[in-house]
Amino acid sequence: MTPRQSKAIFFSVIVLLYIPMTVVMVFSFNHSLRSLVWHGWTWQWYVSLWHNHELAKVTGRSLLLGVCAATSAVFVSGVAAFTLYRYRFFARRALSMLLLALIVVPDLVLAIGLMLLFRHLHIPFGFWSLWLAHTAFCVPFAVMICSNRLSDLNPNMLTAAADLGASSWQTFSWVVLPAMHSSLMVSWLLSFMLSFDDVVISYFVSGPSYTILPLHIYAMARLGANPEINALCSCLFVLTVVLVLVSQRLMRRRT
Amino acid sequence: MTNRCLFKRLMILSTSTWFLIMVVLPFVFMFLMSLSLDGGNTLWPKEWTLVHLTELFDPLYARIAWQSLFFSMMTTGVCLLIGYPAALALTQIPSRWKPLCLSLLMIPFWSSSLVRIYALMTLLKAKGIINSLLMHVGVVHLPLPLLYNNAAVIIGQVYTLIPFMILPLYALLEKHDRCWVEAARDLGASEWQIFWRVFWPYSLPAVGNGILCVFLPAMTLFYIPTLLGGRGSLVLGSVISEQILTQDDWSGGAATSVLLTLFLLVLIGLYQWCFRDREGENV
Repeated sequence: MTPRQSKAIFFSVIVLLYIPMTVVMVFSFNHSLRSLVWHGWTWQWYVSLWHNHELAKVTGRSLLLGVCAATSAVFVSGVAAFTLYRYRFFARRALSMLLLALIVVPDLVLAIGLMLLFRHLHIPFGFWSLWLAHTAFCVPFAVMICSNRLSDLNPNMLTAAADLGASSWQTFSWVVLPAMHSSLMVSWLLSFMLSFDDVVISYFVSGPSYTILPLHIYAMARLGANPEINALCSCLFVLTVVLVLVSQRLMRRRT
Repeated sequence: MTNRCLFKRLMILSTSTWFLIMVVLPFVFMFLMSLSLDGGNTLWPKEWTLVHLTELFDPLYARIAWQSLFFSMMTTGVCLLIGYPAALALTQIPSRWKPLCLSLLMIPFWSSSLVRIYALMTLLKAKGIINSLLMHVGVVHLPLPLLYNNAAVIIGQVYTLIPFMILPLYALLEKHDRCWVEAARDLGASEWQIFWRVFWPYSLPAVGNGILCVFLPAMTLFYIPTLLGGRGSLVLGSVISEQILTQDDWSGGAATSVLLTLFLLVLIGLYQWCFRDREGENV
């Protein structure tokens, strides 16, 4: 392939990937309710989104859940990545295999398992079950990012720290954590997005009285398209773009 | 010294506990539930049965399973056909443009697949953009039935999952040494031979990886057929959610999930077995 051909191939794939979202974004400003023909610019759908109390409540829950799940996932995966990197113990190989498998395991299978777990442990389906489940499915991705970073860390740094009399905790907090800093932030962002967008797991572990934003969108989309969802989806897409750009910048700074 | 040991033990213990409770235990519960006769109200089944597992070979379920497999195979095939050239093309784009191109690829990877499926709905529906354009130009007079059929489901799955095919392929092909291509060209290989004899064998592990990442989600993402498919378009994931949430048949749902997990383990095992020697060669 010549460079020109490869550019053409790549960009046609990209264009195909972006056409649907672009259409939704453009039509979220359309004045017509049926979104069939262009009737001129309007902000009205965004205004009605802003005044939708149900939606505000659901979005608030999703944001809270995303922040909580991302924070706990980063905490768990930071510890897990460090343990897998630093220590040799009997279950180490099994654990790293499990992590690799979890990345390919469909969300649905994990969701069913977690649903049964919560039922047996009598954890009510609502915020707590969602928090635990989201943390559980974000952790493998976050560990992957952190482990990638840790594998670049020179092990002699840890030995040097120990030689200079640092305790394990001091080594962890003064040598390892600063090295993992940016990858922890990227994991946080990725976990937040995964949690904020997740449909499959939330569909199973949320209770009837506790819906969150993706489930709300799913219910609305099942009834068919309407300009208000167009506006909502455009907002979410823009949020994703911003977060991806931030995380790309963080990743680049690290090297 | 004791402090050091304590810290190490604490780290190992907390990591192992987390994965034991949040990953291993759910799978154990799922397995037990699929074998229990009394609907799994107790943790350890009082009466054991294989009914829920054999039920899955019922013609009705078998038909859905085949359909689901068919969707997944079509989706994986199309993803590979489009994704491979795209990944190969991405490696040859001048390095000045690469960060931008990667960002463009990462955005669909990160963004909500539900939002993107919804976007596809607005595009394909009877009064959507494609039909409006076609009717405006005069190619067709009645709107084409683009939505609510099996083709729409496959389009939706490809559209959602294609980044998962492109990214592993790109990650491996990027490391490919250009010297091999030059050498092959010097020895008189055609473009097709270069692809078939140089790139393809080298990229097989990533192809396997991409297939794993596309094939299984395609069987389980139940909201894609719900939103885009017709009355009869179901995937295995739709069956599971139907069994558990609508029919309240927990054991049945667990049995279907167990079957899916076994299938997954076979696929992962196959992947490991195929590329066991190869990975040693490459690294």
